[in-house]
Amino acid sequence: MTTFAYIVGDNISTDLIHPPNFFSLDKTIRQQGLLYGYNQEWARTIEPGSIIIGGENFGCGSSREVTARVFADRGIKLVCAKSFARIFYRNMVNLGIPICTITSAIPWAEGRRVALQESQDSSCLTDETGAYILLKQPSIFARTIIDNGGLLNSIDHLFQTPADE
Amino acid sequence: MSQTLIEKILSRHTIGKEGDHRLISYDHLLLHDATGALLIEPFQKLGRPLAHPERILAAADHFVPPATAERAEILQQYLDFTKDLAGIRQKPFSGICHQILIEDPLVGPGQFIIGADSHTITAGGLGALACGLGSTDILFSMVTGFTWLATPPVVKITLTGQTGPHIRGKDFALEILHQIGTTTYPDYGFECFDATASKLSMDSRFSLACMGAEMGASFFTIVPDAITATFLQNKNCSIPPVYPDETAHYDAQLSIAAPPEPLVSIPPAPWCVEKVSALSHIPIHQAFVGSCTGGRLEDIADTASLIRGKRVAEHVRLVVIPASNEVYLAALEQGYIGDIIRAGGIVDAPSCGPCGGIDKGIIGKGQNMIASSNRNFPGRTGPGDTYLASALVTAASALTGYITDPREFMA
Repeated sequence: MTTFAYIVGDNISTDLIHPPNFFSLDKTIRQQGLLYGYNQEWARTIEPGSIIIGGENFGCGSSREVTARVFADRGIKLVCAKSFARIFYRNMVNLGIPICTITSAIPWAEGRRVALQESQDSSCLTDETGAYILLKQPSIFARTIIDNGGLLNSIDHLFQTPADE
Repeated sequence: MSQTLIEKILSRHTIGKEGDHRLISYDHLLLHDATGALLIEPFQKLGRPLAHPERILAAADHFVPPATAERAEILQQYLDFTKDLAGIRQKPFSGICHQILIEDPLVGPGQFIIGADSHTITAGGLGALACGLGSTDILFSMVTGFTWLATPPVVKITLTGQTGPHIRGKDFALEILHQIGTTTYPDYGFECFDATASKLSMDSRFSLACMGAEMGASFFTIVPDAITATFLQNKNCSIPPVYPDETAHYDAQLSIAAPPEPLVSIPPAPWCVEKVSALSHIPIHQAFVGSCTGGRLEDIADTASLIRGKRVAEHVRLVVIPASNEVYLAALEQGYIGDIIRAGGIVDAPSCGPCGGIDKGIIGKGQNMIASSNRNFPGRTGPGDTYLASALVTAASALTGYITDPREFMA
């Protein structure tokens, strides 16, 4: 089964991923902002099940968590990038949204239909010509959080709550 | 074994391990209305008590006062939520969370601080470790009493040179961004030594530490010295400073000399930096002095001293927003606010203002803003283009209507 992968460049800030004027507690307002700062047409048309492919430093800037939550709001299947900004990466993991790091060159300049093949440690995206992107899964720690459906579902599974200092 | 300041503070707060991650207790946890509102529903669903209510400081600064009906509703939900959290430190409408945090006598060097905002890193100016986290991370820490992180590599930054009256902490921040961008030391802890001849003021140091977020730093801590000691004494804080060991090992080292002239960050990102003299052809529609980076007393004083007795250029909006009530009151007492209003400036109540594209003072399509704030990503402060500089450059530009070197107006 193939799905559409959208490709963006380096240093995509959270202000491009989800402009501040879409900040809302109302999902119907919030979800309209997905990548609106990057491409207003995409914001309207990105289908659930799509994949986002980013460059270096994806998600830099503001920590506001709606910028991660919007990917779940819109049913994005996977967000992958060459590297992520720290807070954004944690937000995605904490919300249980699938995320991977790209470890190969990106052979495509524009979006296309790809197939996602997943395995324990690494995965890949392949197009119809056989061109591919290699993906590295998050650490076991992060993956456990994602598999539990997010950080709040992991409190008892993952952490032996230590005594305070 | 000798330790960096960052290692020392982390070690002192480590209460456990989980795989490659430290579990770290915190001295303070910062909330504000925008990101705090996001955790109300999950907090109620979780149904767990707060681990350390007395360590939570709850500000309201983003939608203050709210500019739309929806934001008024979000703000009210947040206020109702925090009002019911018994034992927390409530400080709504006192100013920007990062500023009221550093003004708090309970907040000092050697502490570990987390907050639901990326610019929480600002408190590193005190010689503390402070980092921003998302709402779910913060909610987790509210109920467990700790957060987790991998030990970051540490880069030592030594500031050198003569600062002079026209070079502020903001110029150092822009110089660092110019040299290293945002991905040279991703997630490193930045440990900064002020070896300049004249020493940066605390306000300048907070401005610099705040911009650590733009450098990709996980922490930006400034090693305490006599300037820090005086600041702590003045706010009745007796928490003893922590210092790095002299033989501490750093994963990287960087020496940053004071730039000879003020710097300006041009769109689309904070790390795109030019000398102010190269930009004098750029017209501006708005000049903004404010935010957790550039709304402190030094910034307001610089603005006032530059425009006192003059007039803001015709059709230019000079928007000044003090970072906190304490800053506002001091600026009133010193006469700075009067100077700014008489010169044609607009003074607004302490809040984040247009930084974050949230509230009053955002710019429209085709408009240019010069600002003492911290980010100029497209869409961040409205649809126009934002240039980042010190308050001095911002004020000088307000006078001419073009990006301007403040030395033109300095005696």
